[in-house]
Amino acid sequence: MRKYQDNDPLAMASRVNRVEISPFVFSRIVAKIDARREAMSVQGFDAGAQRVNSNSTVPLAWTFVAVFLLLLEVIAFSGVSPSIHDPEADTVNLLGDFVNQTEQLYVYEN
Amino acid sequence: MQSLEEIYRQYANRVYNIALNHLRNVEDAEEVVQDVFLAVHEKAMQFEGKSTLGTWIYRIAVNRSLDKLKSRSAQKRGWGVLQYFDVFTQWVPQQNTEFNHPGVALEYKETLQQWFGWIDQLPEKQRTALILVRLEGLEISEVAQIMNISVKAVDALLSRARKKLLKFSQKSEGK
Repeated sequence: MRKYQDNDPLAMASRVNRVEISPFVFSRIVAKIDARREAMSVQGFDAGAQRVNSNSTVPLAWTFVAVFLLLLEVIAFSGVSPSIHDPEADTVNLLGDFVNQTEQLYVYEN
Repeated sequence: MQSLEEIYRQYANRVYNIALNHLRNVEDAEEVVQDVFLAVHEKAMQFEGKSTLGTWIYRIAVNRSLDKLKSRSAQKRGWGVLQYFDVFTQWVPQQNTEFNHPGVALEYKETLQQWFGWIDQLPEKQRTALILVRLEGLEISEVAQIMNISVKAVDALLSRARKKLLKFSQKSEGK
């Protein structure tokens, strides 16, 4: 039996002792958990309430869409719109803005 | 439901020894312990209770240790990119340049450093089975659950590991 033990390469395992972990490791784990929790709350995640986060991005996206549409409307109505969208306005403009009477008459005749 | 601190108190030492016997480096083993308990904290809700809590934690510990071993092996050779390709790194034998195992007495350090060098040359599953059964003293049935294989398969892995270690030993004596 003794000889078998000596020749058994697995018997070497008995010479490796068990070791206790450093008492500081747990506090490092807690610090990492706290750091992650803080980072998540900064990004808008609420620990344990991811639903809040997933909904919070939706209003943000819709706000962008609304602002974009509003901007388009403002551009359309302020700059070029009177001559494009409103045929009556075109006429009014043509009639009202022309100072040259000949041209104004020409418009009337047509 | 146990608190993380209670779980840590119960399992940390064994997780640490599993990592230490895979990596033989105190800093790396402590990093693995941190990773394991962070994962336990984050994935506690995913634990389905199909196995015992200990089996689940030891499985994470083995996987993290093997990941660490692979990334270290790749970094050592300056092939950082290759760590994503298991096939290149899995069979690369480790060099014990950073051998730092507090469980090894000074008088056995040289002998055990060589022995661990042989263990590093074993295929991954044989190595894990050997560490869990022979170094950690876990029951073969529990090791089978951790490795997600049958009891017979664990026995076969241990038998093959023993044969290979014997070959390494005889080769070393023949020099």
